[in-house]
Amino acid sequence: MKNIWLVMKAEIVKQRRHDYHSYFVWFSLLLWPVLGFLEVYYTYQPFSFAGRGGIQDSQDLLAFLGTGYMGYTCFWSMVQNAWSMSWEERQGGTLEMAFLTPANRLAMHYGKALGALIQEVWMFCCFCLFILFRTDTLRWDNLLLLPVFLGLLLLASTVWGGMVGALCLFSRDSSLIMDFLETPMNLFSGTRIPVSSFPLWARALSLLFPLTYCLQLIRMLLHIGEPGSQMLSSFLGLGLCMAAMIGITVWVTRRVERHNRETGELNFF
Amino acid sequence: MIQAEHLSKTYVLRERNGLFRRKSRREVPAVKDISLTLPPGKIVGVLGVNGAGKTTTIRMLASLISPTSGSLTIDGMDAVKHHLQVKQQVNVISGGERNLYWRLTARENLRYFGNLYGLSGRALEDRIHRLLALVGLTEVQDTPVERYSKGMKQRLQIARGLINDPRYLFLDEPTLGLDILIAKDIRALILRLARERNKGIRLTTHYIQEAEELCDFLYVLEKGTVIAQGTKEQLRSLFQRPPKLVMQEPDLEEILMEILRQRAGGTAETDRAAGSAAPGVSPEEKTGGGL
Repeated sequence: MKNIWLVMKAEIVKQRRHDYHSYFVWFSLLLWPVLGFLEVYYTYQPFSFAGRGGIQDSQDLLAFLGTGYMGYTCFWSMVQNAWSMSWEERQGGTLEMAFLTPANRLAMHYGKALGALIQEVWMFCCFCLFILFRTDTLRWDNLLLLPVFLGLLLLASTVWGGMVGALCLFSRDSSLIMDFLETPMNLFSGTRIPVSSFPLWARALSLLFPLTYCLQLIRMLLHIGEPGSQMLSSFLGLGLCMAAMIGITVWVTRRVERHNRETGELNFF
Repeated sequence: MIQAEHLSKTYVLRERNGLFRRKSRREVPAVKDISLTLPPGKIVGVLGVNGAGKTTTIRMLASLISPTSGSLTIDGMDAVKHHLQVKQQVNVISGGERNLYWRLTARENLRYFGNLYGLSGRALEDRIHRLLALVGLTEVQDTPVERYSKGMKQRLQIARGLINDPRYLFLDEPTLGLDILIAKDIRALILRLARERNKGIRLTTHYIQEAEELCDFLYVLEKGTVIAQGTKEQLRSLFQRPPKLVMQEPDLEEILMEILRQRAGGTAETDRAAGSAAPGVSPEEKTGGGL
């Protein structure tokens, strides 16, 4: 257990020193998500919602988008980071050097994910928390919900990031994962549009994304939109998704190592 | 001892024959039926032209890739089956500037790789301190690697390769592209690692002189198979050539070494006093004598 934590810590520290080394990086990690958030908010604002998806007014809309973008930014940063790290580390030869060590592979994946998550999204999360306080979604009397919902987001995103990181090791052409996930995850997981507004086929698709359950739970905890949603079913859905993601990560990690030991492709870039 | 018996490695290449046609499958044998041993404290050289299978052999012995057939044991343990366990006992140092995080400093690089080997705290910091002193990078330990010269990166690679104190070290052209002074320092270090620290070292190189200077035993590879093996004396005796008496003018390398030696003698003191590796100034000469 000590070694697992050591490997995770090493990955977190390495990421901070390697990727998040200047104020410009921090600034860009805040600016683009904020611009995306504002774009959607001002696009929706002229329209009347009249209670659709549980959104009554612009305050509800702000809280809905605040939680949506916060969750999406956490999950999407995992995809971006997994792809860029796998590409950079292949090119630098450090990926093979890391696999030359006996370090726990899962700890490496989850360490990379957690390191990127903390460092990429904390500024935008602060912005979203400001929105949630501003709209009275978070108040002094329900402040205890804050660690619960942050913990939930952190855990789900890290598990997701570990899986995507393992998948990105399969091939140097794993940018396909980014293309495959970007728009569908944004659209179907309820980041910007309540899942209850979707037609049936789109609702079915939304069930494939762990972010859907995560956002449902967070919004239920904070009483934002989505009337009629069941806390238990969302909780079970997220639990199942996380168990499946961990299972996939373990399986893929073993397959990737076996594949790379057969082909020697870990060194290709 | 590392014992490889009848190792073979065949890569399967899938080649595209057009956009809508199925990829064809081609088998490329990289190493064919190689048997070799590497005892602790010895330097075993592998010579061969490009594509002879030297790097593939190293990668198999270091458990980075699995052999297609044959057996590999490291200190009696099946290194194919238990590749994660034997990784604690081996490390690889390649020539070139890759395999390091350039934005990190030497100390941070070593700390990261040390952590991956389960090292931490005072034990790790002491080892980093000793290794940096060993490779002559103490003065520039907090400078990002991207500011290092090629020779300094190579030395840091050596420190990285020693971070887990491996019993067996695989060196893949460790002096590739280095100037003669740095290469000489690195050769001296390799020799000390084997003689004083009892490390089993397997060295691949294109430089015959380097192999002759360092290796206790040599394997010569061609097209993936061993075509000759033995000690230097045994290889020399293969063709029973009589000794040659040659009169030779000093070659250019000798002259160049002398020029550099004289210059280094005159400037080493002031250079060492100057200290750290400032950008734009090659720190090579400042730390060159550290090894």
